[in-house]
Amino acid sequence: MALRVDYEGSNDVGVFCTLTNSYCLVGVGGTQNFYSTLEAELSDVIPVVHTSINSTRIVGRLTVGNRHGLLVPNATTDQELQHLRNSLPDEVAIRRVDERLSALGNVIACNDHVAIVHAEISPETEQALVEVLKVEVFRVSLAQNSLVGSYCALSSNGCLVAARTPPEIQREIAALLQIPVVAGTVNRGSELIGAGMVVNDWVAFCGLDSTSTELSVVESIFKLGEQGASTNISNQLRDTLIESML
Amino acid sequence: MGFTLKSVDFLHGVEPFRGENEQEEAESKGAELEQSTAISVETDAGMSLMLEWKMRLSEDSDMCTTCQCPVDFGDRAVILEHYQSLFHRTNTLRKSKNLPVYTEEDFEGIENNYHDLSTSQSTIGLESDDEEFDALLLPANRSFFVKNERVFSVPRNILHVDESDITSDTFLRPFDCAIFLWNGGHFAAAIYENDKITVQRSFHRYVARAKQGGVQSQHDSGGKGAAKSAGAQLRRYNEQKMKEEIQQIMSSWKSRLLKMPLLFIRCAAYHRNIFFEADAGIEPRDPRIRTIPFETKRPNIDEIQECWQKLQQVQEHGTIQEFKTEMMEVREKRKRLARKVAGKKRKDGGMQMICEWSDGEEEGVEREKRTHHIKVRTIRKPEEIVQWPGLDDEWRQKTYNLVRQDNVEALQEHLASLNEDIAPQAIDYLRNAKIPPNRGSFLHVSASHASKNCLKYFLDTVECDSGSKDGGGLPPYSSSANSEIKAIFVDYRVRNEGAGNWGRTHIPEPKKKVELTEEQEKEKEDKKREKKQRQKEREKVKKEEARRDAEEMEERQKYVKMTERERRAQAVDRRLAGLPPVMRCHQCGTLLPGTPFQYSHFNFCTTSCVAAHRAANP
Repeated sequence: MALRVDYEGSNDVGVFCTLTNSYCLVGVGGTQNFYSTLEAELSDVIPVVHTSINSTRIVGRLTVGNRHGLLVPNATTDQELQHLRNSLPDEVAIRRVDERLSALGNVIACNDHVAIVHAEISPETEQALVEVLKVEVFRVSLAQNSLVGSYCALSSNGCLVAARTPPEIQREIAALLQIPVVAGTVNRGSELIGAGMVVNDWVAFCGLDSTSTELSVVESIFKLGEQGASTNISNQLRDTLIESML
Repeated sequence: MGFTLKSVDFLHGVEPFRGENEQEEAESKGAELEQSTAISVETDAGMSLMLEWKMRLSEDSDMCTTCQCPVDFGDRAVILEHYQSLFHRTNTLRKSKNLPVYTEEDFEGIENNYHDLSTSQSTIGLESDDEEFDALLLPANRSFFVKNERVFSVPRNILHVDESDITSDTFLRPFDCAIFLWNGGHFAAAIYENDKITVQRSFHRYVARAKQGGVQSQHDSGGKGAAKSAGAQLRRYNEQKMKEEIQQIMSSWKSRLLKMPLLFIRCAAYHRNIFFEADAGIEPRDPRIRTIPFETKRPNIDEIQECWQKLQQVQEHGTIQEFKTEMMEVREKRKRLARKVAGKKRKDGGMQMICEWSDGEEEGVEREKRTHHIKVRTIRKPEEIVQWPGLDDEWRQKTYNLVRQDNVEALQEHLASLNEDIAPQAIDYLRNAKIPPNRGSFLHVSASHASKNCLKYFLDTVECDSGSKDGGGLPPYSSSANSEIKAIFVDYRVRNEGAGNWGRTHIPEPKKKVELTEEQEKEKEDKKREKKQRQKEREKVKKEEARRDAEEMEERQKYVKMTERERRAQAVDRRLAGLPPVMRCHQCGTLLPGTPFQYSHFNFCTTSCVAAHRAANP
């Protein structure tokens, strides 16, 4: 199920939120609306944690995680780290990494099995990804967009990349990730997929401006429809998507 | 509740806490732990099963878009191999910097340059425990002791000059000391004799600049020069007076101060000299002078009392076992941090190393301080006394030279020339000598001078410790001059894998040879052969091209030199011989393109040739 939400008037929900299969981080903000929506959707399955990173609320861009672990930038304070440790499930490992490209969410995109990363991240961070998030790491760039985390969103079921990503790169990414890849937009034409939405294996949150076409693309690529009862229209859409990729 | 020096519990049965055995234990445990974490984490095996939707791709589209080279996307192993190869990493980096990417052939040539880079990067992860971190089990600023199986500690500062460790005597004697607190315009001092204040003095003068902070002299010495306001004059005068007054107090207390075993002084560093300048029998490097190891408030008599009480506090650390585990945890954390820090520049040193997440704010601060102190301690290692008296300077010098020259036969002879009773000394010398300028062992010397044979000799025959550290805290492996030397170390590790903790030697694990099945091996071999074949063919083609170019050049030169008549004759000859005509530019002799530039019966390759021809034949 894909939902439309906004964070204090901003469509870029991916900036203020990190969503994984075992927890969800939300940046502390002035109002509770966003938090409440997520809480209502998720709280009976996974913890939704209010937090700041380095005293900022752009947690989605600064952190990267999956169900195995969470990486936070070096600037994260001890207090924040302690808070995260207390709030997240015990099996989630947390590590602070000293990375020059400290907006980890912008330079790394990952699901529970694979990560695609910016070409320039340090070997130590790569090591941390393997150890903490338990993923295979691939250094790639999405054509001219080297900030892979900003320009794509991925879950265990699929991957949505920026609309102008060339087909051969989509094919390459699909082969690396072993999941279907489709190019598209969110928030009425925004190419910043990673910043504009968050997704895990059963739910996605997009910005309030997202059109219904965009939502249906999101639902179909991430397989968020009702189990087994995919509607005719989404089937059709899916077929055309697949055709467009071949 | 807390213990103090006055607690009756400590009147007897106090023993200094020794950490040596524990340290070894901790080390071996640490090593185990490390190994268990070193086992590489595998990604979920069920992953491929999960993918019910797989992309059907046409064969020709299987390529890495970064490197522009074909990769078989059907085979996961091939994908991993390519995307984690140095070739791919280099290319992604170059692409992100908008540089042209290397082709596979180009890369092979320069690979060696990159190779060093890659190995040095990969060893960062392996580089683990520095000497520094092996040594620090106990915080240096506290003195630990055991009583009834429980561990306690007092500030090391309260031990007298001649004591190195705490004993029952420490608790039997009165806590006699002099305490001086001076901050800004506030001064307080007291002398304790037999646990009572015998003399005391505290006063205040107007010297600090209100709302600006800092004393007047500090402001005057700053960039703007001396202030001329009335207030400034007043403060300056008061400061002068204050110094005089303090010196006066000190000299009047001289007889008492001379007897004092401990002098606690808390003041700004630039004020310290006043205490020495006063005629009170205190010298600048007086060993009795101590700092106060905690924060103090505004100097007054109450605060002095507070300090005196606090200095006597004894901290409890639980049972020996608890304490040990706690220390081990700290060690582990430090190790982890050290590894982390090793990756980046080390300029911040120990101060950077606060624990990953501390149990509380206070704890973090304490540990930070601790590391700081310990750093200081490791720097102040006791100077070496004269060792190996049987070996004279000349012998040592020659040994050093032989090692540098890598003359192992001569070295052995040199050793054999010694008397039998000195020989063990010589071996010990080879093992433990610290050689200037870097205070490295002979292993360091031979590694850094690429003395292969000597290095082998030292490792295998003399059995030098490959984990010994030089002045910079690095083991011999890290000062290896080249990869050949490194290979010797790795080889040594392979032969002695079971022996001890390899982490401290920095010698990396030998690259595990992946067990390849015959088929895979064959495949690999085939690939290699194919590659070679391709390269050969390419070279052949290149040679051929070069030859043809040369021929063509020659023809051209000839053609240019020919007169018009000869050219015609040649064309006729060719026609008669049944060969196709060769059309050349009249001016430069290059072969003509499909549609040449023409005037009258002349043909040219470019307009510039036309112009040149016309200029030559007006």
